[in-house]
Amino acid sequence: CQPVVRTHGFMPATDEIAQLRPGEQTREDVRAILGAPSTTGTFETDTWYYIQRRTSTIAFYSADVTEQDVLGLRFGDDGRLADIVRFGLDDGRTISYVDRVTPTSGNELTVLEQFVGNIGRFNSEGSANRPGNPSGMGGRR
Amino acid sequence: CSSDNDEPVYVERPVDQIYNEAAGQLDQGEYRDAARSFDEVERQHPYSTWATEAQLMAAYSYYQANEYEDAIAAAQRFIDLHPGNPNVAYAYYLVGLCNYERISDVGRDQDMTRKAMEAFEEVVRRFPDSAYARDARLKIDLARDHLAGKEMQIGRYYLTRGMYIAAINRFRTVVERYQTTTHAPEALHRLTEAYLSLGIEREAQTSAAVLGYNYPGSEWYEDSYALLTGRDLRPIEDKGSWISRAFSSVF
Amino acid sequence: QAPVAPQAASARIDRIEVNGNQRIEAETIRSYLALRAGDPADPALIDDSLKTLYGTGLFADVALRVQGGTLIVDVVENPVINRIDFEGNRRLEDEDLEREVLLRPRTVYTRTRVSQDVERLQEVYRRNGRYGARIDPKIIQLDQNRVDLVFEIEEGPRTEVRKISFVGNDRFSDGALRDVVLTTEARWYNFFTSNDTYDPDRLNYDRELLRRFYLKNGYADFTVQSAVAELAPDGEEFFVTFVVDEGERYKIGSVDVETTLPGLDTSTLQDLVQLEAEDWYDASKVETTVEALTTEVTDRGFPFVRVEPAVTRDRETQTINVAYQIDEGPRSFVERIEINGNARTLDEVIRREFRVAEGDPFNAERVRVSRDRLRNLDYFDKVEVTTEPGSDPDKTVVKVDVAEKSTGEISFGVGYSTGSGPLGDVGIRERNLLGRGQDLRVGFTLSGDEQLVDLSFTEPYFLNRDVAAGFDLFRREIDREDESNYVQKTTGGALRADYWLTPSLRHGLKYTLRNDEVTDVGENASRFIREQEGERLSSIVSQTFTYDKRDSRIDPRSGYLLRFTQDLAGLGGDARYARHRAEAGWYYPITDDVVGSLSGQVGYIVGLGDDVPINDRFFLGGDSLRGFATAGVGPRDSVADDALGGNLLYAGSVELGFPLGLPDDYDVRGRVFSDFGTVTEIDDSGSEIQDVNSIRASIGVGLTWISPFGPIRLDAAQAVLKEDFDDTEVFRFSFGTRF
Repeated sequence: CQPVVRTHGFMPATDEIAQLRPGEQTREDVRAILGAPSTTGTFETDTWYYIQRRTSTIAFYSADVTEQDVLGLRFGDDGRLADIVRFGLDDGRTISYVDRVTPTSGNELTVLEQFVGNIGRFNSEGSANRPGNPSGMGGRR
Repeated sequence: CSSDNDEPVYVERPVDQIYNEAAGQLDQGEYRDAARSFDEVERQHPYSTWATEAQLMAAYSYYQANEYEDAIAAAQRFIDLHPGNPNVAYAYYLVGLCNYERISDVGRDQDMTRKAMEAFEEVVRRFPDSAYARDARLKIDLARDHLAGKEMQIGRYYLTRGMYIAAINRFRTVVERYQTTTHAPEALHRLTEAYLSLGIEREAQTSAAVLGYNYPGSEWYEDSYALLTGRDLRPIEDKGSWISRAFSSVF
Repeated sequence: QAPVAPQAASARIDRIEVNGNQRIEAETIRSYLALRAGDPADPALIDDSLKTLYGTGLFADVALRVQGGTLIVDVVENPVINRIDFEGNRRLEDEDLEREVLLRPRTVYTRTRVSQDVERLQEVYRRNGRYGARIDPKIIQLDQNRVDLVFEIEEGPRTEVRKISFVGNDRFSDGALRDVVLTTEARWYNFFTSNDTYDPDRLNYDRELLRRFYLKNGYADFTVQSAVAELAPDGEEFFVTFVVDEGERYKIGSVDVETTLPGLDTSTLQDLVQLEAEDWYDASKVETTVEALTTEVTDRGFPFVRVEPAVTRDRETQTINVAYQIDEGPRSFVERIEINGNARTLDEVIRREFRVAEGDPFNAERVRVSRDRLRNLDYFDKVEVTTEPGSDPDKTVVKVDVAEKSTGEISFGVGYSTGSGPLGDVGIRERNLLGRGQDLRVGFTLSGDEQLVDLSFTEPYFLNRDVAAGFDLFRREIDREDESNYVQKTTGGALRADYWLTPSLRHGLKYTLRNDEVTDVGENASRFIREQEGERLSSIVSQTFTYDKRDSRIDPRSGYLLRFTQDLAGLGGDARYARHRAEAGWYYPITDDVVGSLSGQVGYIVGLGDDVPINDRFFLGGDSLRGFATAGVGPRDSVADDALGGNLLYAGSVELGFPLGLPDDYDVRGRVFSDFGTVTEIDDSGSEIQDVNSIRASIGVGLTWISPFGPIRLDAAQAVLKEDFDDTEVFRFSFGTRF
């Protein structure tokens, strides 16, 4: 049976990447050839990243990653392309994400509210939430 | 509230009598009736000195009765008619409070959070040294923290589904625009997770270093450290990068 | 050089005096002034102050003048509204009018606001088809500058559309075009529709409908020259006239697909093109072709594709040449997807329906598909997806605005069917539990001979995967006294999951644990049934393959459905059998309204080591074979006249559905059908068993009316091929309402 294939992100074509000339092109030149980067370095803001990832999913199995391609372009202080770096699927690490979450508050909908508040009489102006206590945010009074 | 079906029979009564009745109802906690009685004061005697006071008390009563839309409408009317009145600061504050208490959890629309922030910012702008401004500033920070929480929620949604670009950009928004919120450390750790998943180790090292430098005791730093050491890497901060300079300036 | 206008010696203002104010503090009025005590009396600032004071809407009149060192502000306050009333409104309730009006008690009365409210009320009446409504506001003065505001309303008659006529239409009759436009002619039996009133917006929409209709039929030059609604002299009826210029009908000259994208072989795209040379031109087909090409080329790895149809007209030969130009559009990316209005539904329940993520190339087709997926969830009254420029020119923000609707249903069903007598059911269902997209349903069904309690829960994205998993719990009691002389009690539960094997083949796995009890067996019941008395545990694993290509699940009019199910009982429990069922349905739209359908099913069950229990055997009759009573066909104990069910079933039905000529507001459809099939082969053996493997058949007519109270079904069928021991039944009626 055919897997469901999904592609996210964008990797420019190889012939476009071939047009990159380290030491010459500025950010505008690169952008004109390849288009906008998927993201720039959060901390290494002198680096542009083009990222593309393809997964294929069969029936109820979890999706397996068939392609993960990262193109990193670092620009020197002179604003010109300094070097090009490439990461593939095997550079990536499968990480078990920490499941702890920084707590937030706010009105959570209870089951009874959902049933009572929702059937038929749904006030659509958007202020259908229940009130909270004066001090806390969206707490219960 | 002209069309309320249980509207009291329209009887002309002296103003102080209605006012005291309303105040009595307020004390017994019959907030909805108190609000209606205060409205009656204003309806029958709009020019008496009691009317101005009654208008604000009606807003407060509706608020206590959790009738937020009516409370906001009453407060807004007070602001329009008596912008110079010394109590107008409370009216602005009440509008903020009415929205603040309806803030929904981070999984849902944050329209109320934004409205609350706007109203409280108005209080701080117009009455900077009033008692209300102090509480308003606190609630603005909490509301901002809540908005950061929403960005994190969406970031985690994308991270757990392997959509790393979307996740990174969301966590970056928290790191850059919500630096002072309680979510910043987690955002930095999530960036380490996302960058390592892509194999971009230099970014992962820098984000872990910034996390360690600014939140040394945080559990998130322990997680990042474990992730990196597990891959025989050390958090090395590239001093030059703009973001670490920005962070060090804040703390 | 024009002399500079002489400046009045700007006297200084040292005091500002306010009089005439009653309710509004002098302090407040001073705060609106552009001048303060001590400023020069600058006429421009005085003028600004005048404008701002008027702008507040608090004052009926304002006058400013400077006398000596004093700026005198004379104001007349606008009165305050004490109460608002509506008189003379019969069609629209006070509450409806209340919502339209902006003025509220205790707000300030101004002439402008009142006239705006009158205009709003006029608009509400126009929307309800009453153009003759007249509204005039009356003021009742009270003490302390208060007023009561009364809107006196004369609703006037409903201005209906008496006649719709067309001028210049040679190719299509007036009748045909009347079906195209939305506005309908007022008729006494049309009391459901509201489209028989004159509404200018609807008339404009009708022009668009006409244009699309003609373009669909090849009239590329078609124009609506005018759409006029004249009011009859008595002012109660409208005569609508459309003047059209049809122009010539165009054929397709040449069709070709060109591209500037490297590595894209356009010859492989030809089969997606829906219009070939010599076909009649059809604008809607050009659009669907563009969509199909965009999707196909995007999937082939060109995320920024843009398909532009270049349509060139050749008036002499009346042909149209279409060239689909496929090239790369601007490289724009999705910066953020912002979801608003979800007061109850969780953000991720909406976000997970999106086929595009943040950071992906922006692809309008995928965004459109995502919007349709959101609408199919049926959690929202409105789903609007709009785009806004992002932080950079090549970044786009996708904004999703939803208006949630109530997804909870309490349903009370009342019905009657000849098969099982009076029927009542109560159900509570929440399709978007806690905004998490989960579906929870609890139902109680009570009918003449069946009581059912069931609960079912489904999580559409189990483990964040595209897998719909859930469980069911059920308790059923079926009184089979009249057909098989026993009562069946079943209690059980099931775990299930289904998912896509290929983009159109759905596969489902299910485990069912069920305890069946055969009790209250009549003394003169068939001995084969008496043998079955007692309890039996069944532990069944089943799988289903579904290939659903129908256009709709509720009222299919085209396409086909194939389903194959296998059940294996025996992993524990008492029952041991393997059951296979295949089902197919094929629907063919003969015309827009007449639909032919052919459906069939085959079922075979074989005991593994012991006989097949009666509850799992196949029965045929009633709804499954019209013209025959429930379980009227199949192996039967001739002595006790009890149906025993069989191990092999094959049945089918040919049906032709058609409208009954009533206006479609009535939603009544008739049908002519023939059912055929048989059930045979039984493990038990004995002289009293009658089992003939012959085809039974019936022919019949029926109709379904989706009435405002609920669907009413009526079938009359006559058995034509039958065995003498079969139970026949001519008439089936069922009516159910949910509210």
